[in-house]
Amino acid sequence: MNRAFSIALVGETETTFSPEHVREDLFVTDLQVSQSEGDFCTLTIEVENPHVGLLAPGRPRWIWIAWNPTFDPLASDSSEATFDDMVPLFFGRVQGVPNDFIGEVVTLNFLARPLDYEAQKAAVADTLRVFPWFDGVWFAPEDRADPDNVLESRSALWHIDRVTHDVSVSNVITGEDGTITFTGDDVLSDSIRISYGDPPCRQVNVTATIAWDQIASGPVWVIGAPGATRAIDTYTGAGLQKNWPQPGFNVGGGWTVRDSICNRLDGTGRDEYTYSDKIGILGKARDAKTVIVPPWAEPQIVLATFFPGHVLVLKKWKLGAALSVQYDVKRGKSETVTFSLRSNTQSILTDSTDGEAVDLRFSTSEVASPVGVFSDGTFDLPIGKPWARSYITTDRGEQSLQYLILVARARLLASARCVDVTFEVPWNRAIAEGVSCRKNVVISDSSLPGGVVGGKIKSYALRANGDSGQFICEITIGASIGLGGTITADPGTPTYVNAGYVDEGYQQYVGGFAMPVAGEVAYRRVNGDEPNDDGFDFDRLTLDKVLIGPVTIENEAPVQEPLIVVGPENPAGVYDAINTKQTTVTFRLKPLNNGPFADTYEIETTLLSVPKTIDLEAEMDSSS
Amino acid sequence: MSLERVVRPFQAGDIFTARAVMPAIPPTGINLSDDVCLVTITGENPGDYEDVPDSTIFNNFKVEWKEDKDKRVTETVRIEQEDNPDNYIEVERVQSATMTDKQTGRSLTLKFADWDKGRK
Repeated sequence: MNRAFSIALVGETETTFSPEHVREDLFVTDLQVSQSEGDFCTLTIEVENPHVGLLAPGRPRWIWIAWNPTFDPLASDSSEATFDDMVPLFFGRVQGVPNDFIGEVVTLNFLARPLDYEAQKAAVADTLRVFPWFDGVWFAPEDRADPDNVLESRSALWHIDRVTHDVSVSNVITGEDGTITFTGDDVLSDSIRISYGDPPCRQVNVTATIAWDQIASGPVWVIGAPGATRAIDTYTGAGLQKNWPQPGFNVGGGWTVRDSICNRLDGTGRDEYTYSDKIGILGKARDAKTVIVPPWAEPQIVLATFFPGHVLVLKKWKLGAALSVQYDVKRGKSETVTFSLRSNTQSILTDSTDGEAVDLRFSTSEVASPVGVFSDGTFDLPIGKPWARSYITTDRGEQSLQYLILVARARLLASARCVDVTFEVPWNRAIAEGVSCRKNVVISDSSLPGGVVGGKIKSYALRANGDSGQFICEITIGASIGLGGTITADPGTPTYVNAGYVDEGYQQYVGGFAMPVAGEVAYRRVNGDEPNDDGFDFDRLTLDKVLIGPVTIENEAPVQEPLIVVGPENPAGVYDAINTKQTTVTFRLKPLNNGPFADTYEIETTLLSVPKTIDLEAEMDSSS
Repeated sequence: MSLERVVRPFQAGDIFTARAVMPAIPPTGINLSDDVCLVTITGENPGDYEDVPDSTIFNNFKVEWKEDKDKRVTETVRIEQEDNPDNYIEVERVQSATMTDKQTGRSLTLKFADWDKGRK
């Protein structure tokens, strides 16, 4: 047997199997190379006690084991193997000192753990942080870089090659490196065993809450516009100008005055009051109203000759006015997404616990913060615009929703792989097929349900024993109890032109179904839904959207002038009359400081299609 | 058996519920502010006039101004003899007269009210 293997103790840098490794540094009597999904491959060997400290400083702690496929244990004159004959089986590091250090035979354990395992895993994880399979929204900032988190939405586990030490991920339902087919003739007799795991989870209930502060600010012109004022003619201009709101004036409801303009355009003239006994009459400027106060009533017809008395000249002001208001609001928003995803699977138990549901709860307040960096260097700010009304109804929000569905899907798929089939095949055959935890197996045998079962290799153990001469490989595959089939979905209503008129992806569809994974599961989209809030769209917040009623300017000069016709000698009476109709500007705004707003989206989903790799409902051949 | 176990995320429990990122907002629907947001801008004429010499507003009426008689508004009033209403006269009272500045075209309407003030 010793000629069947090469066993070289090497240094950690000798990571490539080379001709100099074709030697026998240890005399092995029993060997097992085993690996389970997600684990490092291990090597356990029984060797003649070398009586040296394997962990002594300077001694090589790594091992190369290679197998000679041409080895015939029954042949009496096995020749020495050459490098070209050898198939490397394992490269790993010794794990510790032997348990029985003084015996003639000692057991050594080795582990195929790459020195750069963490770096490799991180590099692979970086390639897997793609939408919708990864979404930083759902992770705390300190967890986003954790490589293991990229697998939450994938029915996959890490895989570490036992020879190359390459780190990859491997799907637990379908392996990436092909399928090995075994028939009953390939399988060692009576070695097939079927076992059932825990009752599969058939339903995942997801509740996810997204919360953020909707932050919006901006101006709205209420009177006039930038560079254009509203002219106001008035005899109460002084008071109007004095009381014109200044920037910063708090209107309430999240509004303050931003731009305030109220300029007098007719100059600076004041009202004038005089007494005259001269012949003549008025010659004042055009923009004034003159009040003549005659103290007498005779003669009957006065066409103006001589009327001494008081004259009050009221200046009519012309104001150029403009006013804008600024909104600065911070409104609490939350959206809760709920859905239940059920898998379409066969029954394995009649117990009520069969099909138990799992509840998953998610919460995030990260959508208004950068959660990552895109390839072009820009930050991924999920909400996009801090003033957005909704998150889950946006394209980016839909990616977050799809991630949730994928997490639920991963759990259901992994859970549905609940039947293990274990069997043994000859060592040489297993090595020739390149058995690993990245491969699938289809095994056909009349003792199996339906005569055939498929599945991903969950674990394997290559065993060689020098005493018994037994060279076998025990393989365990995981079979899925799904019902198979393909999900089809209605894409919804196009928002631009009829479907088919433009290429897919060129226009948005609303209200239809989308499939995060083609053919497996679909959900009804919410991308066209109107948020349940106060209706303000800060992208289109124009005056008409925020104004209650019109902006009114009452009692301008034409209304005030009739009050001036009768005047007592005391000017105060004239002013009292005017002030009964002061020019008044009025407007009312809708408050924006509303909220918090809470919205719930119940997502309709289809059944999850689960592969059917074992038919538990099929007839079994009891004669075999 | 490995000394080191590789994490199996989807079997290792729920990593998403371990952190409370923010307090839940109760689903109370739409909460509206009761702010009124009413803006009313007004102000009075303070009566802040300036005393000026009379010469500034009076000038040569006879030369500058002429009445536009088409705009004259009058009323005819019957004035009866006290204790003997059969004796009476009718007078035409000017209610308003509009004067026009020939040079500038500006007009001034003079209104005369309370003709009976002081009459017995």
